[in-house]
Amino acid sequence: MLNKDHRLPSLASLRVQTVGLPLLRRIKAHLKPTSVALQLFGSHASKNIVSLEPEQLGDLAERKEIRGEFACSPGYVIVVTNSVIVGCALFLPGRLISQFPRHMFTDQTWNDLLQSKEKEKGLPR
Amino acid sequence: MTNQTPEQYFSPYSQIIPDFSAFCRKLSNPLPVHLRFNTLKATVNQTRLRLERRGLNLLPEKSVSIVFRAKNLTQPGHLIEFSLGHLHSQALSSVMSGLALGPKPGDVVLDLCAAPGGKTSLLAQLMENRGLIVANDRYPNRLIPLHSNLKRLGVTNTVTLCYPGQHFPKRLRFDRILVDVPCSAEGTLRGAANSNIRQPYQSGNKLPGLQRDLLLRAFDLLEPGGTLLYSTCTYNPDENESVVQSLLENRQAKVQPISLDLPHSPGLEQWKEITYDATIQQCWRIYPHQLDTVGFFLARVARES
Repeated sequence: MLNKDHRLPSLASLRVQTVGLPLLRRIKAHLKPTSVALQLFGSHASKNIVSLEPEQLGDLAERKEIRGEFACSPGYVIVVTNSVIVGCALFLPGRLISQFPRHMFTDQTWNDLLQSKEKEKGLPR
Repeated sequence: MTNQTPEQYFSPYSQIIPDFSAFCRKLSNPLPVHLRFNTLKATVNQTRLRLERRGLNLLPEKSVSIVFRAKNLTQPGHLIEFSLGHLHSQALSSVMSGLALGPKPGDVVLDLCAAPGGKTSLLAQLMENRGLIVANDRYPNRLIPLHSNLKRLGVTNTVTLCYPGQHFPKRLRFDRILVDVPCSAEGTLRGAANSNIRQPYQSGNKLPGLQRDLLLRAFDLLEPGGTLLYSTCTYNPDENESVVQSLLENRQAKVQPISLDLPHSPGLEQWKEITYDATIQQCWRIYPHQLDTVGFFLARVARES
């Protein structure tokens, strides 16, 4: 990002609060990718991707967990809906557990999304 | 609410605001919702198509390809695209301050009064997440929304600091600096038809002094040949042209033209008993009846090599 700029050593002497974007968090003995990092870099992944319908995504975000079998190995996975990367979830056999940041979505987000999906289909509400 | 109508409240500016009656009429309309599409996370076309498929009516803003006006949207924060950081709700004039500064990928940039981070993330977008942005705000509690917005919008090239801007350490010099100062926020005032306008933020008489100190410190932090952009969302000349005039009287600063193609009025020649430096007319005054957005003042200033 910033190569050999002569001013960087001066930055080290300032009281820095945060640097860049968090990529990984340590959860016990494991490293969990952050949802914001996956949104930026997850497109490079070729496996452990779970594709959800918007309704399933709403359930996952609201209930924190959904049941089902997904074609991936147990562990942290990338959640995608309509080809858009949403974030990180933990897949255990038969269970998908949300790792989205708290307050990432509002309740209204899902209402709007489902209403507009109906509009998209041309269905009456 | 104040007990004043827009005509009464803004009457001190009746001689400096062109077509003052049209200006007052415009204040009866609500502020339009502008969306800035965040190309750090999705292309403009991808985001536009997704929103339009869901029935949103988007009007492109002339000359600013990343900004759209959403005609049938009141709460952009509820959009999933907002949650995913594909867009940010941001006034067109606020976007213009970042465009007028014009940072390039690889620059070292300071955003002196950065919270809540809408303009910081725009700078990162213009810099394609390359180079370095130092985003500073003096209040620790305001760093919380700053951090949240930077994460949501996928900004990777920024460090945050918490210094009083007017005392920001002089150990580092910057290619570009955004000085979006605390102000009386008169440019955000809109009201329903025939109603009184709401009370603006209490400014007392302290703001112009603070603004002068912030601008002077920002200028001192520029690399020779560097550029800063001073902005407010107020019409008050004491917080705008007078602050820039003070800089010109105290430093070897040069006001530069702003090369954007959008409606605006020039900086003032004089206010009350003060006659300003002629170059201050290169500053921009943005009025809502000329460009339907938050009222703004922009001054681009260079430090000569």
